[in-house]
Amino acid sequence: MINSKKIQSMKIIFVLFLIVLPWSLIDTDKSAEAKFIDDSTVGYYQTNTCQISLSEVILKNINNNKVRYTLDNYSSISCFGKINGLDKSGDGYKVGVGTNILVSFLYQSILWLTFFSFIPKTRHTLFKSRFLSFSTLCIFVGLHLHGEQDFYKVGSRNFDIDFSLSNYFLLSIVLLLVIIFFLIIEIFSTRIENILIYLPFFFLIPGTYDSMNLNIYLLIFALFGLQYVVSNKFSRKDLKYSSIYFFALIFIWMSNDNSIVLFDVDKIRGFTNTSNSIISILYWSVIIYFFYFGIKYFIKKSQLTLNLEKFFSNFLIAGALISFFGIISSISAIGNFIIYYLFGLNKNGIVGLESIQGNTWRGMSSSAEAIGEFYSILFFILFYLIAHKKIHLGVIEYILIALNFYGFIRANSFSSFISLIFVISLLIFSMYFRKYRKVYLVSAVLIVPILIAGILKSSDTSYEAANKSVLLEGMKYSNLFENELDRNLNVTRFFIDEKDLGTIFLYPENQKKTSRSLNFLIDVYTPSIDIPLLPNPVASVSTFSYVINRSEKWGIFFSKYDPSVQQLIFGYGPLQFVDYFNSFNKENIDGLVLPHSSILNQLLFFGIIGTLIFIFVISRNILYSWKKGSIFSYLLILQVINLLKSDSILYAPSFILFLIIILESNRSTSATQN
Amino acid sequence: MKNNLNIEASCGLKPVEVENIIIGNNPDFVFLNDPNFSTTVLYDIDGNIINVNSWIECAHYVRGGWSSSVNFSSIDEERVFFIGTFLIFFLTSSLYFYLKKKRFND
Repeated sequence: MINSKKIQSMKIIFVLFLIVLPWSLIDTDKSAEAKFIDDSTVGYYQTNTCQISLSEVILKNINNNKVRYTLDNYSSISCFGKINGLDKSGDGYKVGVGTNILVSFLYQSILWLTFFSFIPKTRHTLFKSRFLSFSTLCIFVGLHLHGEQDFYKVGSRNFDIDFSLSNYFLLSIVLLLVIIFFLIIEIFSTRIENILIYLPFFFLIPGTYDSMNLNIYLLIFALFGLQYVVSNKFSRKDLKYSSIYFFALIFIWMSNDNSIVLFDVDKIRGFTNTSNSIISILYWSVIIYFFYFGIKYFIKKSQLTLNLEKFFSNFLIAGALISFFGIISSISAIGNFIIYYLFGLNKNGIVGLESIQGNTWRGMSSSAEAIGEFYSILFFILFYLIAHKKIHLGVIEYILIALNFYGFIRANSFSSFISLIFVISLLIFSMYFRKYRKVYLVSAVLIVPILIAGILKSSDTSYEAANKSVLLEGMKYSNLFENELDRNLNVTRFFIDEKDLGTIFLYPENQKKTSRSLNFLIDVYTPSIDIPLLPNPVASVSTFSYVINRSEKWGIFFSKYDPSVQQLIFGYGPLQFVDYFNSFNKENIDGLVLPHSSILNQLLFFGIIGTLIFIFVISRNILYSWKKGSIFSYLLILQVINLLKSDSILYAPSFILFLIIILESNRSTSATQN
Repeated sequence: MKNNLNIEASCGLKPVEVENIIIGNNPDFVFLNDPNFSTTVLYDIDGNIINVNSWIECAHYVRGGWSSSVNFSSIDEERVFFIGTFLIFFLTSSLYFYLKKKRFND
């Protein structure tokens, strides 16, 4: 009998083997050796492609700091892990390392699922209707490949989804899905109660497949969501009514404009739709539906509320590892490459230890804001445990906290820092000055305008300029005065000199250039009836956005957001940006500029009704968990403040964490009470 | 003549300003990117690929047997991948269930 210690050792050896071997394989008949990379060997590497393994090149170029490694996922299967090209780029050299969609899908799945197998086992949970679940999800992944084939054709060799027994690409995809689902069930069904306790490690391994618009957490939770639906057979009321509403919405979303455009998803790859096709909208809507119930299923089975200390210790370790690997990724070219691929990052880690625009340093994370929020939650739980449970920290914990603190400071997420201080103060008042808690909340609300006034004063900005900053920015990006010289200057001049938004529309054609949402905001900003003492909502939001440095981003959003009545009410569909980016003011901005507010994301995806339901649920859960004295009320407040100005819910780990906090805040237990 | 047709088919017509030199196997030769040439993907018989960034680089590889059309045996590669993965999965899962059953019986 093999004992569990031996199994753990074998798994560690297997992981090491997995990490090293695929990048070290060489052909027996190969005719080329690795050489030091400089101008004299560029031609050599360009001639001898797919013969030299990555490991050989790393060993030969260990001190060569002019080399950067990039993935070439258009390679053949036999070229996987080998050098597939070399190009001179400025002063340095770009080494192309061959990868392949089929091999990566198998390799990354096995690696990540092996990581999951290190989570301690709990009771076994019976997985019902395996065949039905497998086949349903296989069909949905098939729909995904079909609906987003433009994305796959660009980045994957021999992508072919024609039904045929000789189509080994499609057969291989089906086989890989069967293997992955089999492994997920074998590994997860004995660990369901523990998975969420290890949630912080999701941030270390974001799980986005190389060259695919797919994320492993989406597959895992959707599979268990299906299980939740199958086992409950729509018998639960919440399941029944939400399903009717959601499936009605799917039909509405599918009836939107379906002109097929390829959307460059960039850093949100794996968790957003790349196409506007009916099939891809159907896939994303249904997969998010099952994904949500999958998380609900895990919450139902988990012991998160009873294991807060373990949850925190995982946060501490995962956060420290994120900081550590972030440093490695930024100082080492090979570290940057390997971490990106092995952890399934959406975007390569930052190069260099220097901060970039906004004085941020995101390390290995795709978003400085998202990782800043992660650290703020970590530090709040630390504070909570010290205050409530009187936990004692050892030397190792202090080292880990220092690493986490480094990551938090370097992320430079000012809003995370401020919201953390606010929520910690709220906790202190709740604990030690309970009867003054309401006074604190009222003071906090009152202090906001004073703070805003102070910031405006210190930055020498008039309230007049701040209260229409979003409108000004929106107009700047609205192609007004098209073909005129100094367009931006023209818009600004109108605002400053005329002080009348209507004047800008005296210029012919300008009215057609602004989106419906921006026109609406302008109308609200300039009402025909002025009610004294009642602040103008657009002016208030605009001033707030100016202070938190969101005027430009929200302005861009409103310059592009031009929904029909149906889209305004019901949205475009979950994780659906294509129509928004490609219909109105299509080319007013380069690259992927996201709305930078989760409320605006909600408005895009689920429309006004969905956003109101979302706000209602959040408010209800905060009040409910607050009355129960749960830690999740604080965490939810912390998350809501952060998400007002960030897009973190567009990243799978952040979205999962947010959903868990919402769902947990609705089922407080004595274990997490004050 | 046939080679020239292949080059034209894969790389397009030779730009007037480009000198059609034969590079041969000179490992010291460095191809310079031509900003007017759109990057082209070439394949060899084994299914390897390369991106070429100038007409002269493209012509060099086409002379060596590369082509812009997919004529390699990657279908065979995918067949081998499918059969190999299936066999490994079948064998390891059989072994896994055998050990699991044995453990349960013990």
